[in-house]
Amino acid sequence: MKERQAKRFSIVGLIVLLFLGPSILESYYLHLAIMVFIYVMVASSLRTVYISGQFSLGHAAYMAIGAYTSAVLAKSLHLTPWCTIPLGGLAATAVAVGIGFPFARLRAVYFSMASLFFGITVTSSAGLAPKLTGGFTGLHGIPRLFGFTRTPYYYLFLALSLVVLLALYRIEHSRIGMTFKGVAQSHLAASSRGINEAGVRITALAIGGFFAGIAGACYAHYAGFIAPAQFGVMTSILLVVYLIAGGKGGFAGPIVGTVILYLTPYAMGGFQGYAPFFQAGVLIAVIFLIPEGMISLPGQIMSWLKRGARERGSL
Amino acid sequence: MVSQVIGQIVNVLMTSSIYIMVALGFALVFSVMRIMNFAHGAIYMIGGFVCYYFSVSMDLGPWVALPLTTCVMALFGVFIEKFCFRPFRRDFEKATVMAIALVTILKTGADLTVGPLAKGMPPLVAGSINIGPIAFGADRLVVLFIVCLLLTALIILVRRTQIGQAMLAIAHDPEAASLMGININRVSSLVCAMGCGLAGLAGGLVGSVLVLHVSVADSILVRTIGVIILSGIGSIGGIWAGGLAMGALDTLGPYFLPFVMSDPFEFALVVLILIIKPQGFFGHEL
Repeated sequence: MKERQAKRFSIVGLIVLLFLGPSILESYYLHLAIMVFIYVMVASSLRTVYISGQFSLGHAAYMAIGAYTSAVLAKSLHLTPWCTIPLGGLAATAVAVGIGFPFARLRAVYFSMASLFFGITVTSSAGLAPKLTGGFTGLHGIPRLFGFTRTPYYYLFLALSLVVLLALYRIEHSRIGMTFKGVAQSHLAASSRGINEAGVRITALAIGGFFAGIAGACYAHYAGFIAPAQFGVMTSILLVVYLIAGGKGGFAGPIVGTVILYLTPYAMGGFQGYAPFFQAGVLIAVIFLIPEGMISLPGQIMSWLKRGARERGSL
Repeated sequence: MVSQVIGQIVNVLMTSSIYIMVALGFALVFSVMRIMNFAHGAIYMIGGFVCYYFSVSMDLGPWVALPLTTCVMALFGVFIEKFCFRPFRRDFEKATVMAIALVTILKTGADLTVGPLAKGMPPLVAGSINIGPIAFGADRLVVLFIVCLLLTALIILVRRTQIGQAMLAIAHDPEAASLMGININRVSSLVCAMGCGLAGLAGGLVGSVLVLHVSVADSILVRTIGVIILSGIGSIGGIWAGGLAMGALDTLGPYFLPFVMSDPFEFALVVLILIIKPQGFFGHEL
């Protein structure tokens, strides 16, 4: 009980600290923080898909759908972004449900491959209507939410990501979340208990797609510019890497993974050209030393210390 | 008209043969180690640049550079098998993370050393060959010939020799294979060396026909996985058909469809085939 209270206090403390951000941080760091919030939302929404046993390699496509829907609606029809962002999320959900039906019969590596190619199909379709989407060079001049100062964006994205994370957390620990995990563990056992496997997997995809779409749409109205390459294969695979390297065992995994892995290249200062090497080094260290991901690091260190103490005691 | 058609057929065959070469390595690594080597495209790209280095910077000429590249990349394959993939055999998720780390290292390395400009190599053979009224680029025919020779040798190696049988046995059931006295580590090493060597050689061959650029890594990776899906995940024999289909889609797509539509069409077709026939045309469900 005490541990749980301490956990709660530290989370509340962290959130309060985050709300103080703009008064401490410079504008450049605010930008990094905003990007981290966006990717935390997407990586956590990927986790929802992941816990239902679907190893998606095309999750950035939902971001792309959300971003493009919202951006095109706001730019061509002059709707306010406040109205188009939810529409972007809904469009991503609709697509997720649409592909969920045929994809529900694919399992394991087949699902991964199908989602990979779904992602590529989506990003390469941007060239189909170049007048509307700007083609492969990207879409410029998307209406922004608040103009050019970053402080309001920071508060918006912080609040939004907290809400999204809370929603995803509640979903994961609800009855639906349990069925997700059940289907992931054994689809036969789950079906025999009267769980509709296809329905559960489509629901997981829809939830994951919705929040990824929202995050993508918000990104479009923050950056003012989107291009298909931002949501390509490598982005999708990076999201998976954030999830796995952060730790797939806990809800905090994708959050920790995103924060650390997204920020490492920027922490290198003058050596930024070499930063990807460092990022790769972190990844290799994580899978060799802490196979359960970064969130298991405290427990891992404790067990190393204990083992060290035991060995010293036996000498 | 006829010459155009035949020229296109040569183009299709060349593209397909390159895809088959890269995909065969990928499929072998996948069958034996159950690892999706997402670094395969980056290895292909590095192979191209290594070949460029040997052939142009060191001025050894393509005929020395190509075998050298193959050897260097095969050694690299042994290295990554031993230090990167061996601990994560049959562990899809961790192997993916490892492969991404490799891709990051290789791509950044190429970015820092080669830079963003495309490089071109001198053709293997200059001039063209005339058969009747039709002229072919000699270099393309040479590439096609080399690839066909290599692939035939490889298929014989896999189907007819003991080491090839060992590969198939491990792909089928690693535990039983190792109980029969097959050294899984050694076979995995060999397979990874073959895969990387083939990918590197393919990169070098393409470099002499088209151009080399850091960004080819992603596009070839996507095509490779496409070939694997069309032929059936885990199938070795089907790669021929899958590669031909992918090469034809890639080369002929822009002729029959508007340019912007050919890519989405190709990828959507792959998704469709996965949905309708997940085991591909020649595979069996894993």
